[in-house]
Amino acid sequence: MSFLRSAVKHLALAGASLALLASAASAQDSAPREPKGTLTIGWAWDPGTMDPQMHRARFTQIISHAMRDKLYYLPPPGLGLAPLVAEDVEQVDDTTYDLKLRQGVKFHNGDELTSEDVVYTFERLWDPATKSPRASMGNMANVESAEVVDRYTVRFKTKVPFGPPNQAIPGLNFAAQEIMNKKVDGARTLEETRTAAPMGVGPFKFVEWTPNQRVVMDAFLDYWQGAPGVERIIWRTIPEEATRVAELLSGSVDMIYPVTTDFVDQLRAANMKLEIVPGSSMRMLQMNVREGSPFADPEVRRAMNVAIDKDAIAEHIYRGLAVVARQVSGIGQEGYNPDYDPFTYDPEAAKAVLSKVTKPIEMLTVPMFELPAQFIAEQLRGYGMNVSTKIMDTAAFNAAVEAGDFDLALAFAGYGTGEFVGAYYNNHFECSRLATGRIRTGFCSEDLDRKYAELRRELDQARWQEKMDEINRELTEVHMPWVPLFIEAEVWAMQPHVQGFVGSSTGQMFDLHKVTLEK
Amino acid sequence: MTGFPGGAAADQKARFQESRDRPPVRDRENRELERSRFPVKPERLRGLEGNFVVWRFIAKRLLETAVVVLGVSVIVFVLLRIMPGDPVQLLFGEGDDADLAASREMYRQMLGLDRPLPVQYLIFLKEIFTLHLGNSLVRGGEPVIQMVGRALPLTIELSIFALVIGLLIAIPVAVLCALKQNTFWDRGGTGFALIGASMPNFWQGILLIMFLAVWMPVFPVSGVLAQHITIERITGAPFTDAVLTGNWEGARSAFMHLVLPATTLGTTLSGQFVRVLRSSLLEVKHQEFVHAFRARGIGEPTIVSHLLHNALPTTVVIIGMRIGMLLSGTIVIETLFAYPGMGFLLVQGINARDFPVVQGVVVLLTVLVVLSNLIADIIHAWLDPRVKLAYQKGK
Amino acid sequence: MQAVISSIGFWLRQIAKSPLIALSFIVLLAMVIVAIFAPQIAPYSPNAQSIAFRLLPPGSDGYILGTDQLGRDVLSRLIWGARLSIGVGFAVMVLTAVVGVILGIISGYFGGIVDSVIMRLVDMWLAFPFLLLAIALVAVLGQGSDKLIFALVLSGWPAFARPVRGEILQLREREYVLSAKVLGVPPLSVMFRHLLPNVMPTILVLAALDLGATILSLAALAFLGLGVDAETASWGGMLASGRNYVATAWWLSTFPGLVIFAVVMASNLIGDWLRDLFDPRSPFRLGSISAAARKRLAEDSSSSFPRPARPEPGTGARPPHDRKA
Repeated sequence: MSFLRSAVKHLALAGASLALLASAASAQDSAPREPKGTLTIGWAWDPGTMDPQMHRARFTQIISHAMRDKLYYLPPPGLGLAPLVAEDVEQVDDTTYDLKLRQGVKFHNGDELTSEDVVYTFERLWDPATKSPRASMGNMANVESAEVVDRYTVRFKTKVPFGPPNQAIPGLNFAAQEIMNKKVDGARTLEETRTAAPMGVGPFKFVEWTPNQRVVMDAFLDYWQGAPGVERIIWRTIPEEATRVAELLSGSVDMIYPVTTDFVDQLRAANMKLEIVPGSSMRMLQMNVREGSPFADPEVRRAMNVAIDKDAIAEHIYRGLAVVARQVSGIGQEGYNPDYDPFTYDPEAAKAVLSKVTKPIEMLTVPMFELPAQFIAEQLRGYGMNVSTKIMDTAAFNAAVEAGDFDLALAFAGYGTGEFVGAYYNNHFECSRLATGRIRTGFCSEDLDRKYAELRRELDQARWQEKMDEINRELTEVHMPWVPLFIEAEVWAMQPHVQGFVGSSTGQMFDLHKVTLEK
Repeated sequence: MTGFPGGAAADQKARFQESRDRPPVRDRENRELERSRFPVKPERLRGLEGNFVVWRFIAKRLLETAVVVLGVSVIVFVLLRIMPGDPVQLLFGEGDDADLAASREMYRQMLGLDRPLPVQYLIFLKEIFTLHLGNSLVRGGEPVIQMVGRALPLTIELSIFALVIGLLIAIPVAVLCALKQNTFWDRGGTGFALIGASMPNFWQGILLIMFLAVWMPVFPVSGVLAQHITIERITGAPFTDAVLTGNWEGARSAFMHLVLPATTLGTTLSGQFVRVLRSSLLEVKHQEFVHAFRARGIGEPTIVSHLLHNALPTTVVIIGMRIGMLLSGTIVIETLFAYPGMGFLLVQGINARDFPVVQGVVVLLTVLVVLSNLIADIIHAWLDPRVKLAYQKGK
Repeated sequence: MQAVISSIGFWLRQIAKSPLIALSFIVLLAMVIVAIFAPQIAPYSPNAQSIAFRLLPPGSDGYILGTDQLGRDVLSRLIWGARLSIGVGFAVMVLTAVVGVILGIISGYFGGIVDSVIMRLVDMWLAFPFLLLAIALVAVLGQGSDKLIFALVLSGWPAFARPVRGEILQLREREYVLSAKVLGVPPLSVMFRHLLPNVMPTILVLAALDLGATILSLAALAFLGLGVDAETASWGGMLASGRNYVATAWWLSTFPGLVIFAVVMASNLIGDWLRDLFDPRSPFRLGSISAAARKRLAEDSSSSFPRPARPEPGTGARPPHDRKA
């Protein structure tokens, strides 16, 4: 487990307050029985729907998750799987998994959670009549069935082998589904479920939802992990960040999310508490390697990799709230090697090559990355390149990069599950996706795909690690379709009296029931 | 100026010159124009004939409205389709589906986005006429009519507050300008009323928030209501509903939340109101009755009230014309103040490429603008004292 | 009257009468000069970054107005920003006027079906939320000042077309126009040699107001994250990206905000002042009026007809201001 240890070490170095994780865990034992006070969260979104299966938005899931627990949840990359209402899992054969549920877990209406509810949840999800956009997330399309074995046991059968449970469960996306109530939800139409009070086994009960204004939920005293620390949570929709910060400073909300580096100094000066967690989304320069682009030449891509002063970006633009990325695998992700740093910033070497690139180059990006993009563009201009920055809204940006209609793009790739094998490789490097427009850079290598296929079949942990390492190295310094740049932290800001909040790298808000207000 | 061509004689030239400098004559065309502005010739207001004219006028205007709405529906439909960006692609994002392309394609079919564009447009048209407006692509299929049903009362209430604030600033300033015409007070007053209209909206809003809600916390920062207050829904406009149900705490909270956004919008309007009101006042100021009043020694306040009474009708028409501007002004302001009206929906819809929402909001705003212009015309006819005078004479 | 308007001496005398108007002209003139000579005046290149010197307050060594988030000189960016904002402002003003006036004159002169079509188009445009149109156009066309100009002209022309058409409707029945027609003067010549000079005052007023409106539109677009490419310094862009620093680095938003305010205010004041000079209904046009004219005016407005529908700018149509959002 040296990989895990090093990942943890790196997380800590990155400014992660792992101590907080630990303290939060112990806080559970001393959690007050009596919920007190109202926690008001100002955030950018409105959930849009109360149906946990009719959306693909992270923020909708956060709201939903506060009311409906899942089987598992995913802590930061590298820390493994955390069981929630699932107590244990047993692999019966290559394609059969038996999940044991906790006993005595109560829904908000007093019903006990049984395997019937879990099976109902997944059957509703897969039912073509539901038309759920989540139905084939992860490898869910390869799940054959879910059946009741006994009151507390659910049997999942898959179409193909998925390996040991700790690998199978995140990939099969069982972790991302909130459990619904068969009796209550089964009696509702799709249209009703969209607005009706969610009936889950989560720590908070639905009270009210005024779309685009607020969602109100109250403590559920019979929550299986103990009564929550606050009596009520109010989620307020505040899209503009300057307004969110003003609300926090004026004391009318207790916590805000997301927070960008623009406001960190101001919030610190006002003695607000910041929860900073290393992120799990790689920010990189994607270079179009297709014919006709200057970046088709590997030497240019190599020069690009030493041309950018990433430390300055992390230190000055992100004020230490970002960590420099030095390889294609993100920090904490599978294949990440903390000792591996193939490129050193070398303006001289970069200039020698890049000064010969004469074609005018447009660097596309989204408003969120305007400052780093301008910094990078100015540096590249310093080498004699003709670079301009084009800021687009997310929809237009996605359309342009998917069409391969760009030279350079300051883009990002999430790795919330911590996996490299799977979506991360599929989406960015696998040749078969070139046709469907998924490989934005236009790069793919048959040879690498072969190695990847071998890796997927590898069962021996040590050899798996070796092969993973090789793929990471080849992508980083042989093929170089990206210039890995940095990984931004996730930041929450809150009033000093908010205690026990733990952020997660994917921006999720797990364990809200552990939060207390101490004025 | 340019010379007169075509070998015209010199005396002719002089005559043209003279006629050009005369104030506009009231010719046939001009009357025609008046009729479309206010179609009811006062003496015709009697009996059935008058009714007929009124109804014919309204029918004609409604027909024009239909043409405009149809045109706008085409513009918004085409614009959204040629704008880069795909709602399904945004919805699925990076995605960790084993086969994202297939998942997306399935979902696109489900939403009907794979159908030919003319078919999609016809569906949109049908939705307009059945007043259904379709379902949101991203909000779990929420009917657009429900979304605008929530947003529209908010926007209307905010707009009315903004109008009131605009007038509260404009009336005294315009009276001052008109009374002290061509002095420093005149230009200075106009300049004062233009302050709001000369600042970018969002900057003014942020400054108001920082000064009046954070550093000197008089008003709440953003939102519609204090979070512990619930108001029974009647019209959907919080202040109105609170007053109607006698919920005074709610009314106070709704009022306080409206002040900052309405001020931002209202000060933008006040400059133009002053412009219009001042010139109407100046025109009335030199009419004979004013001189007569002065001669009889009637006090200045009474004169001012008479002046205003005579100048307001034009201003009402102008306000009617400004509704469209007010509504589009809400786009930035509602987002900044987290006030979920029509502008807020529009920004949300554009960012997510939620076609039905944007289409629905735009079509509805168009109808609103055209109707408010129509209402302004009718109110104008009703308020204008000269119209009334003629009507009475006719009797 | 035409002769008077084209005399420079007349203008200077009128301007000198009001210090506020004189100041407004000086502000605009100064901005134009700054825009033209930006490369000579600016102490630094607008994109020269020194990241270690980010967010220096005004008065710091070498940076009179401080530095921004990337360590760029705020003053230099303001100066270069004048190039874009003033340049786009004037270009949009001229092009919008040209397009709007041509359509307005055609619509008013020919009347009938042409008029109906153009006026329904105007109605559609005026009812359509301006910002949505601009957002969509910028998204479709891409960034860059040329595309921005195109988008703003395309969304702004009705502000000129409608009032001009209203005036033409009246003018075309006037004796000299009718005579010109009878004499066989070709329509184009009637439209542009005889009618156009007479609507010039309205056009000037609208144009003055349009400059301010365009600069505000640029800022609104920047707030929504659209506009020119990130390297081109623009006032709106500086203001929008400085809005998150109102409390920590006030100079980022305050200086561009003040400059925008000054230019828009100047443009508004000049527009109002021009209207006062030209408005035939104002008894104070051109500073003097005969007793006979005053009487005629009084008769006019107390006649039994409703108010004349003469679309004096500000009543007949949405002025360019409506674009502010």
